[in-house]
Amino acid sequence: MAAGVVVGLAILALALRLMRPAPSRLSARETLLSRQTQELVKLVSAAESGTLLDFKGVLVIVDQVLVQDLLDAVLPLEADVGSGFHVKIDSADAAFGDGVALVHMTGTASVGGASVGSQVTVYGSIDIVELNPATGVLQCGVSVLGVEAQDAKALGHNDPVGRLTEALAHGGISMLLGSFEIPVSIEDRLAIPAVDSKRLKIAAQTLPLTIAVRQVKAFGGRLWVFVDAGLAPPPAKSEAKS
Amino acid sequence: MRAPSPLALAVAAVTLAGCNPKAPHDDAARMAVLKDTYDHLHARLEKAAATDPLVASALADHGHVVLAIRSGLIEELAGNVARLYLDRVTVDLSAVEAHESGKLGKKTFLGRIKLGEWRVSIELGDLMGHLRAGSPRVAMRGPDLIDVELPVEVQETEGDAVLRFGWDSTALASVVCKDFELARKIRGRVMAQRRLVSGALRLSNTGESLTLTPVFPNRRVRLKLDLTARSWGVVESALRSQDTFAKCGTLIDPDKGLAYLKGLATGGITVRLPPSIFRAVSLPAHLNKSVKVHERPVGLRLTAESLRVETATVWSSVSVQVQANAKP
Repeated sequence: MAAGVVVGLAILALALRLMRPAPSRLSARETLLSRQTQELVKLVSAAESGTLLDFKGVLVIVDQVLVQDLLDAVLPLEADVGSGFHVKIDSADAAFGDGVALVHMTGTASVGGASVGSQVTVYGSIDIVELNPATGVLQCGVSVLGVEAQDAKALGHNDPVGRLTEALAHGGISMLLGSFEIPVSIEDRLAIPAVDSKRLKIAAQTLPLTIAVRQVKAFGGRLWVFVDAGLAPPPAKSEAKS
Repeated sequence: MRAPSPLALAVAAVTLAGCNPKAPHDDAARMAVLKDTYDHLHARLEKAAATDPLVASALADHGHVVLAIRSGLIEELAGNVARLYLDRVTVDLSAVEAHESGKLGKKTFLGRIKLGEWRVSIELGDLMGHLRAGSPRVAMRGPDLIDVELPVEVQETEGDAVLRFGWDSTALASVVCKDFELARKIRGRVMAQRRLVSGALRLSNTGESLTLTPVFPNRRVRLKLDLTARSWGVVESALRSQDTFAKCGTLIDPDKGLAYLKGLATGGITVRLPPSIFRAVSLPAHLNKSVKVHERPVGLRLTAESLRVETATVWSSVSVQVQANAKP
């Protein structure tokens, strides 16, 4: 019996320890500010050494206004994002001023099918920019930096904002806002059309290119996508066997 | 007093843990430090970026999408496009016919007398011109031109041709030199030779794409020709067939005529390359009139804004208007 009491007290002590504010998780605003500061350190270092726009092939520069207009075109966005949460986004702002390609979404969240929920703000950043290998179109993906809820209690117990953040970070954001395209394509070949006339027949030709997104920066209200591009090396000739 | 059961303690513990916290609040002190650092870094970034010529060029464009392509890459692509225009290309010369004509006079005790007019022509029959392009010299020339100088190797080929040589005497000369017209089937050869084709590619921004349009106003290539030894023999025989007193022998020297024709062949004939060889191409970076946002298609209207060469870079700018609200 005494041993049982000891175990029970130990569990109680652990629970009391868990009740203390979690020092490891930052608020959404602090997470964002920390991330922006980290990115600014890199940008300042590059800018002061004259390598801010150090690109060799192609640089695609996208104004934040265009990204915001693209997001506005599909609003509202609504989805079950996991862990019983349902989120509806009514407005979205894009701000690329300070190292982070911030997508700031506001709307409502509810849990367990409840008719009443809380107003929420989802801070996301465009962290994934890649070329679709089939079409060459630039595709962006948003990752979650943090979530704020005006009325966290309306979303349940046991750190509902943390659970909502986790749900969004682990696939929920793609239910809400999957990838979106930027209207720029960079193909891995340059095509020269055929000639088919009475006196001249030349088949269509292509110059193969190597294309890869190397880096993405966000500052000055723009997203800067650095794309390495060049002629692909000719295919290696197989060695003749003697 | 009874001690609480372990089960009751565990239930109480789990219940208390479940009550825990709400979302973390901002730590005012940490936030203040972060904000200071942020402001300081932001000011440094703005100051440094303001002195960067590439940033200045980029921000000078007002379109929603700016494509910046290094001049070196454009030159590399343009050079290879130009090379492919003329590399391993076979030009059918069957329709090519070259003419040469002149007047012949002679000094006499009466002064210089016009004896007549000669003409020579060659029809190239099934001759082909096989071209191989070398490494081009390419240079950007603002605002929108890329100059190209392309060395072209013409490979030696042989084929059938017809040589015609004619003579029209003046009334005075016709007493001693009758008009004649010779036509002989011969074997002609296009000599191996190197030529330089010069022109330019003009860059333009259509909104949707960046295009390279060829500008090759001078598409003429001079091809040196020769005949096989046997064919020169046929020509010589033809000329000698006129070298009789009853024909033109007193006025025409077959040896000189042969030398003259050889000179003409060496000088070559001019072939005009068909304009369709030089084809417009689109650079591989372009804009799309529609995108997908969360799997929904969104229509766009594209308007070209600018195109310029600056800081060893081609800058093109496009305004993009989102058309309508996409339905889910």
